[in-house]
Amino acid sequence: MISEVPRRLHRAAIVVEAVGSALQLVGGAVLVAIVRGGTPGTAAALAAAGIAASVVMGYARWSKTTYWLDDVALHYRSGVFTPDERVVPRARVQAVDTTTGPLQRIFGVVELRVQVPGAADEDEIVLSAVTHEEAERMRRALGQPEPAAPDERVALRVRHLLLAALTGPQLSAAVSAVAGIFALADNVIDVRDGEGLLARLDTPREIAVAAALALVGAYVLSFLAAIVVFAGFVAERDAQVLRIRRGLLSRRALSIPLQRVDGVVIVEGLLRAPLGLAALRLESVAHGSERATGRTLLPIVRRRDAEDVIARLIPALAIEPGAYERPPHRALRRFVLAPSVTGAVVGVAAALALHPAAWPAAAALAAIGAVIGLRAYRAAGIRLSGDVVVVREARLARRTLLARRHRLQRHALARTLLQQRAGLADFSVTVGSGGRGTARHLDSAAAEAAFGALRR
Amino acid sequence: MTETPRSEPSNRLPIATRTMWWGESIGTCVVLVGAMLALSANVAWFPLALALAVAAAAILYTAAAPIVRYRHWRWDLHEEDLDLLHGAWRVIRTIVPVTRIQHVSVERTGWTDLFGLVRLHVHTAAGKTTIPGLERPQADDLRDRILAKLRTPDDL
Repeated sequence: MISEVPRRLHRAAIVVEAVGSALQLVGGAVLVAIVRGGTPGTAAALAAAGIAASVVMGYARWSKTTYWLDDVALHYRSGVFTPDERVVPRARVQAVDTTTGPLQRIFGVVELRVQVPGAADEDEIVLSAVTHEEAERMRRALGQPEPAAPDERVALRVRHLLLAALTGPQLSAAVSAVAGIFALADNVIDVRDGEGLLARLDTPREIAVAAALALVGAYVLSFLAAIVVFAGFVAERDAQVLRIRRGLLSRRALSIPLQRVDGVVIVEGLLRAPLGLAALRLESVAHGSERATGRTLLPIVRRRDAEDVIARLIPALAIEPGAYERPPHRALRRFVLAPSVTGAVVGVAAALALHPAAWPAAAALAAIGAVIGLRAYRAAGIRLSGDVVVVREARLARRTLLARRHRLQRHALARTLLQQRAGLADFSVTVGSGGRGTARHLDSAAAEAAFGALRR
Repeated sequence: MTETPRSEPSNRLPIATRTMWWGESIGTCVVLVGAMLALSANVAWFPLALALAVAAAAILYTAAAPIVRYRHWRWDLHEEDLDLLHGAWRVIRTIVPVTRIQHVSVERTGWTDLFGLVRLHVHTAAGKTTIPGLERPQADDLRDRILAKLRTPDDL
């Protein structure tokens, strides 16, 4: 077996590691100093100690991290006290991605991320600093074809970027960030003044103002986050490989062989659907464990163009225009009943618990539930077109999954006894990332036909 | 409707699975019944009828659920896919194409040994699918048959 000499990362890895842990350590030290009521002097001393420790750790880590290739596998060994070695068969590597953060840019290196199926984010092999030439060599060695001139290219214009950020779905991340800031502020002010920020919110008006502030803050953060993450977004493909580049401060470059793309989801979020906009998300084993941002094929697209753009970027997912197999009319009440009852129950419970005069909330929530159910009914549907199966559904956002039939991991047909009596069935397909598309309450015969057609 | 699905899978689970399920749920049932009796004996306002009703429901469910679940479980390994059918209230038919299977594991614990059973897990990139009870030789045979079909380890 031919095996190369173990290689080390570029020395920039020391700095990358050190800065990473220093940010945490110093932040922690300063926070401790503030909360404990220490002087700026002690805070500075703690910070200096944190930086020193980070540099030492960074060096130790770098000196203990090696990787090498042999005939069949990539080996990676790291860990200062308990070194562990990971071995990935070359044939199992799904994709090789690079990230160029500000630090990497200063040193002219890149971070290389080897995507392996079934690995959680922390199990991926990450080479935090290698030269561009080395990255290129690794990519070849791990079976990524040489880039050719792109056949198709979709770039995000600035105004589209702004639109994507304005209607962006990163709200949940931003909300938790704001909540964190609030908690922190509360903590600090609590110590300083002996009175909690939240404890001061007595009147409904103050509470409403605080909530509104938090919401606006979250929205602004989400807007900025989307800009940072998606700036300069380019998706392009040649005959074999799909490549995606994005990011302002840290440039991410994903490359995935086209044959390894399982499908694409067209996501019409709550803010986007009314504007006729959607985002495209890539479904593949390679990036299955990534968060939504990491799987973005295109942050924003006009809904009516979505299928065309998908067909251009991933020809295997091209579909003929055609009608969806939709739930029959008799299924409508099944879609509407459950969410409206849930809404009504929640509303009644809230009214009883908070204020009996708030009873109209129950009616309002029931109505909202009914609307959600109606949307779900109108969205639900499946289609087979060549090798592609399309499953459309709506919970809050409308999602249309286009998946390659021959790459489905699993498909299922389910019906309760009640559905059986009504001649209805739920149809679902599961793709490599674990993502699933489900169309509920289809006509039994139609669902069975599709189910049978998916088996070769 | 030109295409009709192929016939449903034919293999049942071994009957010992039912016994194992009884064994698994009987503990919870005993605890629940005990708690109900203790409540009605010690808490004055707790209605005896409610305690008895809950206890009766628990006993009935524990006795009946494994029977029903067992009766509805079917599996089959076809040329190209693994075919599962299960569920009493919600009947679910699942197809796992053999080409998507990454590995197969046979789980054997002291508990399953008592019944001479093992569990078979079929892992794909999207997670695992489980046959909850098989006799050991049967499981080994099924595993070998699946593995024999796996000829494309590269392409997931």
